Amino acid sequence: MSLLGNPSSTTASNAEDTSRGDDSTATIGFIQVCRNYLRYPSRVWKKQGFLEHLYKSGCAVYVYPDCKGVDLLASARIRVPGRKKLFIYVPILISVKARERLNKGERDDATKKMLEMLTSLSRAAMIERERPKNWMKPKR
Amino acid sequence: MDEAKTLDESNGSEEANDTGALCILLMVGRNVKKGARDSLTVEQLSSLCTTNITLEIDIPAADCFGITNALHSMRGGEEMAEVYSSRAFLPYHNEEDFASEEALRLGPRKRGLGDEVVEVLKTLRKEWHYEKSDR
Repeated sequence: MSLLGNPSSTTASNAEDTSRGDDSTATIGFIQVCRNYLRYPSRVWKKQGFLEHLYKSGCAVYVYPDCKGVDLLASARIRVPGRKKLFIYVPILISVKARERLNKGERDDATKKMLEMLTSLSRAAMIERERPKNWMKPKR
Repeated sequence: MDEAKTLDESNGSEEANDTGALCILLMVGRNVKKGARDSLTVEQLSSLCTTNITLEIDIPAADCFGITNALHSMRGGEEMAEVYSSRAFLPYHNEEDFASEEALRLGPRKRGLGDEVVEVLKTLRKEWHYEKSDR
């Protein structure tokens, strides 16, 4: 799915191909949703390596059970403004609501939960960055 | 050779700076479809590298896959389905089982969830009685 620009880049196989005139601002490359949440704890959701892998594999994943506010996680590739061949991968958090009535307050509440989730992810990533590399090794 | 690079490779660092994210609220089966913030501009997409963007998408009532119609004909959706699908520790149970928290068959992990389990059970019980009185 191409959010904007050239819709030819619809699959993971040609997601990397910039020579075919893929000038999209952002592309989403998933064609299936997998239930492999056990592999991916939430603290890696914003890691570039993980998101790149998710994008290139053409997958989105169901998040872990009991997750408050988010049901699916996918990855989008964004072209860095002004840099033709430089990309950044951003997470797409999707919450699915199946209700006959969903008023503005409830919609705002659902959106707020997703944003809170993002804040906690950023905090977790920051803690991980600041943690010494050998923090798990026992001291001798 | 493909010259496309990610930000990580370009910076030579292990982690890119904190990026933004796209949060999508996907709404299925809504009767009244209005007020959704479903527009996304090029400027917003460009700023996605650094800021969070929220988006509300309504699945149309007459979508070609017939999702909304299927959902309405099942009558099994709504909040209860969301609770059951997102909380694997809640087994199927009858009305009588609601009375007993033992129905949860708590294992070590589930026991760790503590208050949340009881909270969900109370909510379900309330919902059940509300539905029964509504019929």
